[in-house]
Formats: sequence, structure tokens, C-alpha cells
Amino acid sequence: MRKGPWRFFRNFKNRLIFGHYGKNVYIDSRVRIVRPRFISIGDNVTISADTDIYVHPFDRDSKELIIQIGHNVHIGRNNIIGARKSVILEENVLIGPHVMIGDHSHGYEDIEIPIKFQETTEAGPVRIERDSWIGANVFILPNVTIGRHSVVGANSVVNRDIPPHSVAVGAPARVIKRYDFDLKEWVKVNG
Amino acid sequence: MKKWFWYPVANIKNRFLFGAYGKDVYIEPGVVINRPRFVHVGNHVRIKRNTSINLHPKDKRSKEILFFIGDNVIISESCFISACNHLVIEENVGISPNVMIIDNSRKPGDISRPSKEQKVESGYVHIGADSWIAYGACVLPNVTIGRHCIIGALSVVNKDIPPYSVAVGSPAKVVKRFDLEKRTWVKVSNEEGADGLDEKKVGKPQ
Repeated sequence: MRKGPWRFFRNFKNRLIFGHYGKNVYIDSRVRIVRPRFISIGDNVTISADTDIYVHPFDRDSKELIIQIGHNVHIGRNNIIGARKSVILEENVLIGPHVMIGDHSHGYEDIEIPIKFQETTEAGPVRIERDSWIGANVFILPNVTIGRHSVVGANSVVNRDIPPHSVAVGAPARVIKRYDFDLKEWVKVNG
Repeated sequence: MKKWFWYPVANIKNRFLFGAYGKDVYIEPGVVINRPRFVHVGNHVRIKRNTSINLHPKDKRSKEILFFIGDNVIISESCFISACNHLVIEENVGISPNVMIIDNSRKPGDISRPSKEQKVESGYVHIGADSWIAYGACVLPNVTIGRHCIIGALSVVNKDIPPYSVAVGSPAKVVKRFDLEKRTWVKVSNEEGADGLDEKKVGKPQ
């Protein structure tokens, strides 16, 4: 983590523009954030370079926090977080590079209009519970909850909920390992 | 200050560098285009930062255009586009971040020499109008994507995709299609969708 003198001033500025801003936050200078008013950031958060965070709320005058980032969250390089309704990252979440989290997607139903100009679909909340780890190049679709202390492997597409204490990989992601509380160890899951 | 001062200047500069350059083009800093002379850029195009566009023409003195970008195209962050022969993106196409589009690739050939030194075979890629390519997809050479298609996230397209369809997975398979008679989107079962995208053909070495 770089600790230049400008970090102090940038944190001071960010404290004014963010919805909530914790202590000891490091946001790289190449991070781009659209509408920081809707974002809350906890303590000891790191957001690495080239990350984009877009908030496009349905109601721009509302005061609710759309993206909530907990304490000790690390967000890697080149991530993209697009939010319209709610994206929640709980405490101690680790996110790798090139991850995309979106809580809305493009409509394509009308074939007369280009997809680019169609309305986005209705947003569904994304929630990543505490202590979990998201690998590189993962795409997280709307309406997904990733349970506590679970791992999502690299290059996977998460389109449904992942239970707590599990390892999920692939496109679409399926659980391959789980923590067995009786045996006190990680067990492989078949099928 | 930076933005509104430098973009008009860059646009004037780009008008001389590119093969063709439309109006209202917005190429962000950090975009790398190695030989812009072979690129046709339409009107209202936006290319976001960290995208790299590599052009490797066979004849470096030729004046033909290898990479055509139509009107109203958006190419997002950190895409990778490599064109050797013929790469067309029609109008109103949206390309998400981290997408890779290539029209050239290496083939298994002489085993006595490193594959790095061997020839690169180039084909074509054609992306139809109004399509959307989602995050992290990879479009391989000799592929035509039809009009108004959606390519799912992190999918690998190695076969032609018919127009008005949704394709996901690696290799990409059509899962939904627009029925022009019923005017609705219809789900395609696996057997039916496999007619154009036979798995056996996909795995065949050339």
C-alpha cells in the first residue's frame, strides 16, 4: 500500500463526497468512481488501480447507500462494480483482479432497438458475505448471494446463490467443495 | 480542464492518423492502437481506457482498412482487439470490458520449431449490428456473429452465431432465439441448438 502525502488530502476530500468513509482507506488515484454519494466505505479498505465503480440509482435524489463496503475489504485491480439497487460487500472480503459485479443487465427483448439503447433490466441485489474470497476474472450476475467464508474460483460466472463455507468454480459456478462441520474438514461434493 | 482542452486537440490529431475518422469520437487516454492507419472509425464511437488494438497487416504499405468500426459503437475498458486480415464491427454494437476479439491465431504445425516462430493464420471476424458482447467474452477467428445477438459473460465464440439469438458458455451455444413468427424469444433445447454448433466439430484438430 502506497502512503504518499497526497493520500491524506485525498482522504480528506473523499470524506466530504462519500456517503460514509472510514479510517485508513486507500483508494488508488486511478480509481474512477461515479456518484460517490451513494457509497459507504468502512475502515482499512483498499481499492486498487483502474477499478471503476458506477452507481446509477433509479432515484438520484435518495439518500440511501447503494454500495456498502465493509471493514478490511480489499478490491483488486481493474474491477468494475456497476450498481443500480444494492451491492453489499461485508467485512474481510477479498476480491481479485478483473472481477465484474453488476446488479442489473441489459434488456434485449425488443428486436427493433439496438441492445445498447434498451432499458436495463430490473436490478437485483448482490451480497457478498463476510470472509469470502473472489478469484480473478469472475463475473457476478444480479440477484446473487455469496455465503460466508466461501471461495469463487477464477474465470467463473456466478448466476445463483452460493451457500456459506463452500468452494465454487466454473461457468456457471457450481459448488465443488464444502466445509463439513462434523468432520471439521473440507469435503468434495459430487454432482 | 484536462478533458475539454485535450480531446479536441487529440481528435484533430487522430483525423490525420486514422484511415477514416468520424464525428464525435471519444478515445480515452490509455488506449493503445499500434497502426491507426488501418482503422476506420465511424461517428459517435467511444473507446474506453486500457483498450489495446493491435493491427498487423500483411502488406504494411497497403491502404485497405483492416478494422472497421461502425457508428455508435462502444468499446469498454481493457479490451483486446487484434486484426490481421478482416475485422468488422457494425453499428450500434456494445462491447463490454475485458473482451478479446481476434481474427488471427496459431495452428499446431511443425513440431521441430517453436510455435512462436511459425506463421500466424488469419481469418475474419464479423460482428453484426445491434449486438451486445458481455464481460470477458472471447471471439475467435472465422466467426460471424449475426444481428442483435447477445454473447454471455466469459464465453468463447468459435462458431457462427445466427442473428437474433443469445449464446453463452465455452464454446458458446445458442440458448435463446427470437421467433420471428411468434414475435417472442424462445428457449432452444441443447439438441436443437447443437445443429450449427456441433461439439464434435469444435474439438476437431485442423
